[in-house]
Amino acid sequence: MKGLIWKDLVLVWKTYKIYGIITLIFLIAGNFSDNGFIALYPAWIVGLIVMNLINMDERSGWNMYSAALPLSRAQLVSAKYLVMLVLSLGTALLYLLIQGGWSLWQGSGLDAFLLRLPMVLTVMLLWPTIMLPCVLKLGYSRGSTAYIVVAGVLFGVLLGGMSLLNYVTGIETSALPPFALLYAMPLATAVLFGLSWLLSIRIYKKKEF
Amino acid sequence: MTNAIELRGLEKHYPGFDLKLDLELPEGCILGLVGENGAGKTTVIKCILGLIRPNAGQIRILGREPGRDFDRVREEVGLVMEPTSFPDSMNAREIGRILSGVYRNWDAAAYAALLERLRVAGEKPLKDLSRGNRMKLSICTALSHRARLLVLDEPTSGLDPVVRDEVVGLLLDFTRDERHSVLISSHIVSDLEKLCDYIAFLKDGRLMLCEEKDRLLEEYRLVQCAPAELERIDPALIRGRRETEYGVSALVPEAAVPAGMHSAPVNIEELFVLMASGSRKEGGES
Repeated sequence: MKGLIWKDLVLVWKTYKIYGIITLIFLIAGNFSDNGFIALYPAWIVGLIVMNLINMDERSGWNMYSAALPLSRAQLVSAKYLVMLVLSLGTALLYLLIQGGWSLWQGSGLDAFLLRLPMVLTVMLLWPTIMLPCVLKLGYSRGSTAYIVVAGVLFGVLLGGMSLLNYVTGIETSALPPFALLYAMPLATAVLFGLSWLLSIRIYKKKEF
Repeated sequence: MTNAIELRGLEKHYPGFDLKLDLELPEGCILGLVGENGAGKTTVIKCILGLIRPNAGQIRILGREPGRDFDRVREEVGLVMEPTSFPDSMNAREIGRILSGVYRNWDAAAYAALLERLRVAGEKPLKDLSRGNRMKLSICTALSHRARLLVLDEPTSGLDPVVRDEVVGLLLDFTRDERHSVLISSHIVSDLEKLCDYIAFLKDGRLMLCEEKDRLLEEYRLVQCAPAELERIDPALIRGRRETEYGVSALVPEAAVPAGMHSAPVNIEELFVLMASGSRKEGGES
């Protein structure tokens, strides 16, 4: 499986260096801005890179070729999830170094950074969590469309549920303890990520080329 | 003699297409799978490689059935499926590095030697290689992990005659080891004629015949005569015919050629064309 991971990391290096530069620019800019988009964009890029890798695999015929190599379908899927994790960890480390380091250097402590971090981790993992099974099942083009539908329904249910909770119980979800709520999100996303991984393996085992 | 590939009662159904066949590739031999586009050649290869699941039948590759330890079988199968199946930005050196992490028996020295022998640039991205060089690269990867069976889907299509000849030479070298076998699908019949020990004709998902090439060439004759004269031959024995304004050409078993009727040896290309066309009048009539 190391060959698979190495292949994707080489491709990331060769093809997506520009994303690395954009990530650095946004991370540095995030030190001077409270804009949510600037803070979360680098996290979102990670998932985008992995989806593009799958797109590239499809276009080059690698999907079919790799399915005939002495590798299990579980290994083929797991390589993508592991690359996703490697890129996520790398980006999280950059967040820590650039934004956490900046906060410490400014003497403002890590409180603001620690409040932002769970949101970053959630964004980083959530959309590939939803999108990877869709893309592996349907291919990149149809999978992307399916993702828009699934994500729309999911976020609709989530936001609708929060509004309903607020309406029925009068509890303001935004008034929940921020740290508990914020850190529950990446943990829940990590669980979903694991489930997505298992689902993708199941899907890919049945896939015909 | 053991078989490198055994397909028994293999069936695969798609809307509008049904594949149904039995096929054997004896160890140490080269089997050419010939057929028109859409005859089912790629479907057979996909079944063998486990890329699609057959609806019925048994598959044995190098003595093993697909199952838990099929990955071990795949270690011994060299694949050539497209000119290359790697992203365009990669180069031969990187591809070697990737496959060394995939195949336990990857032989980096053999790979480097093959690249050099076939003059494939190690550092050039695939997008800058010609189709011929990409195909040669594919063959280098297939031959660099001590495979016992090569499976090649249209390896010579789109290549110029010089490169095709090099590819044919490589495959002949590979089968000098009597444990090595090759399954090759192609519609460039002249290449198969140079290479193959066995020829299998596929038409509309059915195997029309699978025989030793030399026996096929001995067994069939090309009869060229007037249509009325052809009536002397039992129509059931005519395996294919083509009518032109000058007469009729028919593929007939040697034993069925009446005494005194002129007939000529047939080559594989004529055999394939006549069998594939069945009974056809030039100008599109069937």
